[in-house]
Amino acid sequence: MNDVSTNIASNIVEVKGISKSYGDTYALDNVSFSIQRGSIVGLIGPNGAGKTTALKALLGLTDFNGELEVMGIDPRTGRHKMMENVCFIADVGVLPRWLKVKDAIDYLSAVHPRFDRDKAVGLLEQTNIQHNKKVKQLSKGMVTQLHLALVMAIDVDLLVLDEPTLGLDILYRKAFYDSLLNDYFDRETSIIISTHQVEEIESLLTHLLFIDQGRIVLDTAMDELSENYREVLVEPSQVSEAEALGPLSTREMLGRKSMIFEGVDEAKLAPLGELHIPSVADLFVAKMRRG
Amino acid sequence: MSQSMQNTIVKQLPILLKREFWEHKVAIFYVPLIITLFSIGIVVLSAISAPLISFSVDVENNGPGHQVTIGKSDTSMSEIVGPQLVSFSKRSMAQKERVFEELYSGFSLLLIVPLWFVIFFYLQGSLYEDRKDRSILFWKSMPVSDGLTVASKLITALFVIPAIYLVFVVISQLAFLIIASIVATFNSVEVWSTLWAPAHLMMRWLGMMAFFLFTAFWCLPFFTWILLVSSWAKSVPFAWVMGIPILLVVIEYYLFRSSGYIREFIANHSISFREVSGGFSNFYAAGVFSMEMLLAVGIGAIFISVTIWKRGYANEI
Repeated sequence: MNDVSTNIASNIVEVKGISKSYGDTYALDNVSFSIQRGSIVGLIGPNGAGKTTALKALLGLTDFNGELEVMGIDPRTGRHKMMENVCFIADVGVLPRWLKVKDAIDYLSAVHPRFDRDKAVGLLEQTNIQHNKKVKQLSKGMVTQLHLALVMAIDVDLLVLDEPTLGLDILYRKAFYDSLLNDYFDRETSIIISTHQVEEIESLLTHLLFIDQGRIVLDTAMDELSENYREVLVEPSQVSEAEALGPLSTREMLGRKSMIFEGVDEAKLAPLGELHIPSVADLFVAKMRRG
Repeated sequence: MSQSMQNTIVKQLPILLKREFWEHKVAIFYVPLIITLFSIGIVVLSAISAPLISFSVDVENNGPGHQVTIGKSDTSMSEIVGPQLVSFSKRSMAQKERVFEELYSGFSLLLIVPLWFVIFFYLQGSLYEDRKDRSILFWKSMPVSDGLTVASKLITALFVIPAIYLVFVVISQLAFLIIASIVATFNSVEVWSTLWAPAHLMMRWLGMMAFFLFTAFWCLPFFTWILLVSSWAKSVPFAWVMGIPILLVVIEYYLFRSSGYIREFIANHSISFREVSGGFSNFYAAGVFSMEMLLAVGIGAIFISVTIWKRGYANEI
């Protein structure tokens, strides 16, 4: 408990050993992590790994065992208070279909103390969304644009995105992350994004959280990633030497072997072949195979 | 209640009620509007052409039977419209009052029967539909407490919807009297003593208002039970709403045979179509400060608390 409260100043989210089970399967198995103010965290894992459950616990949408604080508030008891400083976008289609765009704006103006009406209207002007339309009259992509516009008009400390672009075509996906990046670039807002399309958000992230079968398998800052992990394209003649250094993973690539190493000195790796910083996707695959 | 909590309620409750109106505009507004326009239309048609509707009211006997038939009829709107107004105006005040009583009871039933259905299905869907269509994830991402959310649904069901329907009852009853007054004027019948005085509009409306208020508390277990089921049912809430009380009654029957306390309580505290139009009778007056009322409100309060608690962890289904 002491630990949690002393970290609050710098950490916006503190998760300490939370577990959640459905029957005898664990959706979350003693999960701990923290999110620093201003960081952009990618929560990455295969389907059913526990991403959504973790985010729901964070948002006070589900019960669990363990300790969790968002800006010092336990979301299980203080959800509505917490939501003054947290925004949430789940995958497309959670805006009520009967809601009119202008009514959504009225609603948020009245209910949310940190909603900026003019900003929302300004953001919507950049789209083709008309104010007298109902959500059900908008395309999937437009619904996401609408939700994002509403959320971006709220000045919050934490933005939670759960597979925000699932089911959208590539144009809207790209546009979504572009506007997100532009808008939040110079804010202090922390963002946590869950996705399994890692490539699309890789460049945005400052931190990575890999989750598999309800457990955190990697928790690292992106700049530590470049220090700790190396991908080596090993020449066929040096494979046995390389394997002696204990690669995380090995795969065939155009006649050579591509190996990912964790925490091995660069000087030792350099003679083996070409060095790269592994992509998040490759690192993810490597970590999952081990787990 | 702290100051900031009060501020939040003052700020949020109106928009939450509006939200309910936006979502249920058809049931809350367009349905009574269309019924009202339809019934006014019938009255106008009857007044200006061959009657489409005939009322035969048993004025002479004390029987409560009134009969409304819709369709081409060879009897005119006896006692009310047209030349009959002349003979109607000569009846005693008590007889006139009885005619209006029967007539307006029938009239308001046109709106009040749908009203009960609307309230029932509104409550049943209120904490269920947003879990089903996943929009709960949007609503829960707003800084609105679960207690206030539940309160907004209950206030809508118990006060807002009845108030709107009552306004339409008022409109249709006024329209009827205005049309009848026009016909009466053409037939040189004294409008006030023949129509407006025996109609007792003010008393009638106050009576209905009192009736809705009374029902809101007297039937609180009924309303809050539907709300509670709506907050946790994973599918077919209707089956749970009906099934569990029926099961309770059946169990009670097998355990005690003769006594049917639960059955009686349920029957007593459910909305019914029997006394809807009668206004505020002595029965209600006696019920207001009774132990039975206290019990009903108590059970309602328990159901509300459980509903808020269930809503706390409610999720998409």
